[in-house]
Amino acid sequence: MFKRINIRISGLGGQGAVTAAHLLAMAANNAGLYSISNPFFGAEKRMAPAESYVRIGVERIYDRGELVYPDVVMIFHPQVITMQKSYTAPFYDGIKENGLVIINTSADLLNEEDHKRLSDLNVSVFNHDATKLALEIGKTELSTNMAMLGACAGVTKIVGLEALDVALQERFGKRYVASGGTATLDQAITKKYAKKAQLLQANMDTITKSFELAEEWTEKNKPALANVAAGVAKSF
Amino acid sequence: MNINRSNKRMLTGNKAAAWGARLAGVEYVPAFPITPQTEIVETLSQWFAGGTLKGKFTNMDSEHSMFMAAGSAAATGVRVFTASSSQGILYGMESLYTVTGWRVPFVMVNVSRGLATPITLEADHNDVMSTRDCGLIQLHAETCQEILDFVLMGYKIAEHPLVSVPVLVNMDGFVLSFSREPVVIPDEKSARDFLPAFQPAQPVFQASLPMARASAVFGGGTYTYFRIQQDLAVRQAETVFNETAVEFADRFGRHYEPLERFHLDDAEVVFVMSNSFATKGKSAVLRLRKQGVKAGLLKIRMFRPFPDEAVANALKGRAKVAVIDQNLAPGMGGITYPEIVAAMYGRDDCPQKILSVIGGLGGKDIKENDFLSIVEKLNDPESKGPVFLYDEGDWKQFQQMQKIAQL
Repeated sequence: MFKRINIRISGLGGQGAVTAAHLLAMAANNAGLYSISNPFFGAEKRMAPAESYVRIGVERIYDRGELVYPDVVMIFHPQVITMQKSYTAPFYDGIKENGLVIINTSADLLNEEDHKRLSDLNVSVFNHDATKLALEIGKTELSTNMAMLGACAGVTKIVGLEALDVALQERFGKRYVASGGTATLDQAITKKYAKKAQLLQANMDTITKSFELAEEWTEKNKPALANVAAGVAKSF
Repeated sequence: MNINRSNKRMLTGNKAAAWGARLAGVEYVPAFPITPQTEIVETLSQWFAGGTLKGKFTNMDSEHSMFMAAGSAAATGVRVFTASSSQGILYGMESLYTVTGWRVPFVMVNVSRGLATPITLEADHNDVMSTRDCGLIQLHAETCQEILDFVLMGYKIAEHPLVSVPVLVNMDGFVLSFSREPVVIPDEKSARDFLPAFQPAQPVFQASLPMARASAVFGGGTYTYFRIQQDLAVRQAETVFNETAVEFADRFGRHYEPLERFHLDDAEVVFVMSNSFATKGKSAVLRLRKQGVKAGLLKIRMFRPFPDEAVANALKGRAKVAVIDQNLAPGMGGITYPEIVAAMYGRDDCPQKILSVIGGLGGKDIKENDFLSIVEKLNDPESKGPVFLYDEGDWKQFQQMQKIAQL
């Protein structure tokens, strides 16, 4: 029975690894689960290593901070692996048996030893070209984190698309209130918010498409964590 | 109780602090940003700019002016909030001593971060412990909820006529400041009923009414009088905290005591901890209990005034106690250890062993194995403190760093 999932995200500064973790925790909270997320980074600098952690469970969570034993590891940028831009080396250090690794890549980035160690632990590796998806659907590389989120949810079903949508709106979709000022000002504000709504939709579309692709991958590859949390949110 | 009228949201510790200030209806915020505190003042600046908060938000040129401005504004009778961290606290130290002596109430948040040198960004309590003797009331938070609640309660305590002293609420950098977890946000009306507008008990500065306050005194007698007054005021805050906590619980359903007792009733082995790492301690207690060890945890929420009676009552008759300090006084050891020992002094039901442990320096994780090693040390009659939580693995990691540095 599902009790807890620990997710570690390694990315580079500016990719939204922190935001992704927060959104996932918010979505889980909306679904009635216990959740906590926190980031770890040094200098707040673009392209510098950044990590974030999400813990989601059906019981109260009694730990916080750095996540040493993850069930799921998500790699947002190939350089985390190829150039070891990471606080954790190797990137899958501490991963639990029957775990899952999702890497934003179109090519296999692992060497023979990595493959052997991960397969000894029965860890599945999902190479998922999230940036390509983000460019195609979200029309911006910045949606990469959304694609990664969708993939994680698609495989594990830790949260559904609806909960993610609510979290996205909660985090970014501030309600538009007429200024009560001039018509020109109101028009400018309406325009700004219309653009924002479009952006939110594009992000949600990216999440949805990625979720579906992840479901297909899961069907074919049968990872140990496949649908591990399916139905938990509802039955909780 | 108005629990159902509250709204539960995923907030970072920083946002929770800002919400506390917002619900308190603060009227003046002097600010100076510093990692990991920035999100607090950033959020407040947006709320002031957008009109959610009425009053004035001012960016200061340093923490020294910032604390001075906080104290001065409070002396004019407005409700003041400010926040800092680490090096900022040290830079403002002169002002902190000064304004606590003025006996003006306000609330400040410290986001704990290790002090230089070496420079770092993560949680460590040497910064907040350096303010231990300033005359501030200190409440230390373990969760994002506690932060919000302590800020609200803090105003009630600080502004109490018998106290009239600033309150410092402490949270750990990163582990709490950037952690997002569910926080119940009280509705504005209940918050206002709990905490009405600030009614200064002392005369306030007004342009039309010239007045001197905090003038120089010569001869130790007068000085001593004021210092004793300050001591009495801060001590009084323990009673006021307890009264405030009852009222807070009535309204919001969450009750706080100066100490939290986690599985303590039948505990033989006790960890004394504070702040966010106490959560890790609780997790270790649950696991140790599964293995048959009667473990428990005493969490210290209030460091000033120091609740020594309560501490002595909580620890009396325990076999073994480990005081885990996330700070270091080089050449002595943990800073809070002597305070715990002093609370037990002269009691015949004193624990057989009280061990000083230093862990979590610079945000270093305290892992489950560390708690096991503390239990081992407690069981070893030869062991002496301070025990540093630093093992073979940590040493290997350091050697690796050395190798990279030499490349």
